[in-house]
Amino acid sequence: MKQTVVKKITPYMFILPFFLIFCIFLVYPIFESFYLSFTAAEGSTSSWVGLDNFRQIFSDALFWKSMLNTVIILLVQVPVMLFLAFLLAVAVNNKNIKGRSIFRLAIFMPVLIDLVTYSIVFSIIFNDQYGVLNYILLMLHLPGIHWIQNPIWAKVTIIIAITWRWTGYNAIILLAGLQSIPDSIYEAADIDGVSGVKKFFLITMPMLKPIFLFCAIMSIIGTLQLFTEPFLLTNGGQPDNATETPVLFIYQYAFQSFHFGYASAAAYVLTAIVAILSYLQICVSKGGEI
Amino acid sequence: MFNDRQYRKKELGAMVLSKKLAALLASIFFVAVLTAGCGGSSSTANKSDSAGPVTIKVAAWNDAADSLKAEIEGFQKKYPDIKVEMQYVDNNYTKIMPRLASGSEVPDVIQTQNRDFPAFMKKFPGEFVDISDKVAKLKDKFVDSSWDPVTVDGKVYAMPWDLGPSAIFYRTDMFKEAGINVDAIETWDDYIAAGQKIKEHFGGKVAMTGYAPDFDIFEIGFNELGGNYATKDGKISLKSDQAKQALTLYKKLVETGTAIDIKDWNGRITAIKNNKIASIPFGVWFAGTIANSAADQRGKWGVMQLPAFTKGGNHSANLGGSILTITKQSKNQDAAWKFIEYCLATDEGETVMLKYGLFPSYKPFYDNAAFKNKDEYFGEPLYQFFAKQTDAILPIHRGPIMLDADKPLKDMISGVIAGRNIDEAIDTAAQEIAKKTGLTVQ
Amino acid sequence: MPILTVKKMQLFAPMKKKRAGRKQSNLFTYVLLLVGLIVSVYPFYWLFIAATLNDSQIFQLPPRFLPSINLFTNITNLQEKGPIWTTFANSLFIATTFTVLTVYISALTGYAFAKFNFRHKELLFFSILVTMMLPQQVVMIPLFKMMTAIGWQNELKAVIIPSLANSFGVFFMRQNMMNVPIELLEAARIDGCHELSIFHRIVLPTVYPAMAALAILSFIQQWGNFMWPLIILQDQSQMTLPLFLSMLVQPGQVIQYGEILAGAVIGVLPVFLIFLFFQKYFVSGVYGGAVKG
Repeated sequence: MKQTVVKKITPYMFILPFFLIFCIFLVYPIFESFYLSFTAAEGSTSSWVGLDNFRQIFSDALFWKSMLNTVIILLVQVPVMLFLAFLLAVAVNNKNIKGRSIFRLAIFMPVLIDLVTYSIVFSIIFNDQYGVLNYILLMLHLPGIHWIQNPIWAKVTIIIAITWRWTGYNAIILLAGLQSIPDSIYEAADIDGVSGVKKFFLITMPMLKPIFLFCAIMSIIGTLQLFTEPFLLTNGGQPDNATETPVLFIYQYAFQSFHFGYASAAAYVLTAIVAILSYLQICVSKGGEI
Repeated sequence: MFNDRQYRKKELGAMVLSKKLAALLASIFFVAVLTAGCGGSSSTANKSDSAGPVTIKVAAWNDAADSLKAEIEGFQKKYPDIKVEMQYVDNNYTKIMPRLASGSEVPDVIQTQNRDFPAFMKKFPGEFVDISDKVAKLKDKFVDSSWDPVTVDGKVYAMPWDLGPSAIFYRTDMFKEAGINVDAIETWDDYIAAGQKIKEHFGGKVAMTGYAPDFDIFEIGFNELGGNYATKDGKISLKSDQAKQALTLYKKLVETGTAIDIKDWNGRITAIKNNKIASIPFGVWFAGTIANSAADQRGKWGVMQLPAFTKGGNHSANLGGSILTITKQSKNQDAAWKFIEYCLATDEGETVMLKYGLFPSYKPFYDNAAFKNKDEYFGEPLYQFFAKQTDAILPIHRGPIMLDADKPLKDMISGVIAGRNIDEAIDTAAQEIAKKTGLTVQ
Repeated sequence: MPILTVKKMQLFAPMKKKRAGRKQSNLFTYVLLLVGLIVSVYPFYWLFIAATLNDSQIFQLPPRFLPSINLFTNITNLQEKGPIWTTFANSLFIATTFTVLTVYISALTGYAFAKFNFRHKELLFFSILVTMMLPQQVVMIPLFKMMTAIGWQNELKAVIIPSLANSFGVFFMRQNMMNVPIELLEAARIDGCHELSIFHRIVLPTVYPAMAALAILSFIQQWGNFMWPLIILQDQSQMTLPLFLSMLVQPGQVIQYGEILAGAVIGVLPVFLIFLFFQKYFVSGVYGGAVKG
């Protein structure tokens, strides 16, 4: 009998430390901020407004523009990044390449960068007058691009920055996936004389699919919560709100004008959207696994 | 693999040991964490106002905090019973705001930008102490326009600290080379024309000035023209002729290439260091930044007054400046006031301030010898020059909108630069501000 | 997805192997990797060089590619700005403690979700996942109120402990533990092993790579954690290094870039070393979190 009791409470004992901290330090503040979203909390004032905040959010042009921006950035950045990550993973996986561990270290490094250096270096690179990029363009006799002033190019700047920071991370994940495909399958294909290209499409890609999915999901969630890059690199959503993101929106309402109620409401709308999108993704990829 | 009986027996034996070890490690870590920082944490208790020494906490940022810290020595000599503890916060209020919102860990004295103070009053009602009677005798000793942001409903809730009388810092060598006569620049149109000369002479490598997507240049123009963000009865008056003129000027500066995009504060410094811009319309507080960032350009910088919109028009504007205010949670409000008074309304206090490049709103200090000194970097009595500007600065009434207006104004500027119609941009900004503040547009 | 069986592969007609093409594809690969390396490493290279320059050299054009001798001066000057080494120690303490604790707790929790069945399991797991999607800014103010109410303001533990509600860690470890063979656990139980021992002696060793991976990611994340420490830590002596540096770069003041970047170099080194140390485990660990079964 004791054995069964022990068996029953064991899992609960295992999850207890986490859930204790989780409930006290995360769930409780979440409930409080959820409550705030039904109030017009501003600074140290507060008053109940029911669903008004949510009604306002749904008609807030800036909020939806920020969502649109994020979706546009996402639709371009995630595929580009995964494609590059895949190329790099394949390249580092290539047994004929010497110094693979050095390359592996190098492409992962961007994840380690500190925010101060990140913003300074990227500001320098994308600078209108003397940035490296425009310098190169000039040498190619092309007109310089107004990276941060132009609404379209500002989005491109963000995409480039995110891609720089996260491609290596995803490349390492894909690399691990590649390395777990048994050589025996490739050898069998060689025996049958399958060409390199066919091997790639018929063996590598299908076996990599679950990991690809993982990377895609994490990247999409990450991009939907984009904050750092527009905050640091494009003056907080400029120009003309072309790089405004939902989390930036929330931050601005909460920390610049102290409208906690409205910011909380926006946060929950965003969370709901992210949750729905993630759920849809998982459903669609039921062929893969999570 | 693990089916080996021998292996499992070893496992059983080691199990007990490992269980104890795990428990030990876990408890060590938990204890370590729970006692972490105990040694390093500072006492947060506020000693009460009664007999004996008291400690007041003052929160400020960057150089301003440094200046207050430097004041402590002199202050202690006068008031040995009052200890001052400096708290360094960021200038975006990220650190101070949660404290004000929750009402806990609030320092005795906090710094805010003067333009943001009315907004703080609105968002944190009752938070700041009424010091009207304390400042009554000081009213005429401070620049008139500096009282506007700290006065709400006729009562004064904060003390004006520094001011930002503005002018144009310019590269004397570049202007000379391009054949520009500084005295001939009277209007903004003259300024733009001079900018063209610079552009031509240096083949596009040097621009007259730079802009960042903040609304500083707009404010300079708006203030010169006597614009107000809000009326006395709390309506948003952004939609005005002055705003339109200021915004049109901004657009013109960008379109004619007079101002290039320098992205932000760091970008401006970089442009200065690299000889990319020939002038900067900014407040007096920028002088120290130039001197420190471009030490090798000493002697090459001068100051000239702001151009006016029309010949004979107003050449003065104010940009920036901070205030100090006492919070209601302070248990030592008298002591706090004494510190503020010492730093901001005495000659000794202002002497230290000036060393940190903080230009006083306290007028009596303008007669001080320090003002007559030639600035080493700029080669002229810099502060005297700026002191002359202060009388003509028009007060700009903002109402409690600035924290909410920050983003709409920035959007307005960047929208216009990106090609939006000026009237539309102003209108949108006004509507946005109205929405966020709950005030109505005039 | 179905793996090609050997039979199916026999259907493909034999094709001539392109030996000459291999050399070409190798060259292309080298070029790709080299470009990747340069692009990835350049900002770090810039950082290390800039930390050795004095301010007037940092932003000059054309940019310098060779170091100068100011590193020591920059660090000395930086030390005058504030307790830089104390903040470094704080960062180290916070990141290390957090990493050790979160890896252990995530392993405990992930194990339960992966290998046990219990009531409300799905609901609890779902609640963990959902919290991952909430932007953290939104809980900061309520959390701050709580911290001051229990007297933890300005304490390092106020940064560590709330962060331990690390949903990603739990999710990650759970995925990795799905692969642990249940027979192993059953066998150990039959032998009368205590559950916690099974966990320590059998389960954990199997997932060391995943733990190493999580350790790296957790360390990096906590080291760069910025907003919450800004809000909750008051004194300079309690701050973390990245936080302290960012306070020095605020607009409105004179910014000494050489010093700050020297500080950034100091800040980058630990994360760098942690990665180097754990990287051999990292690769297989992250993969394990991506695929179940």
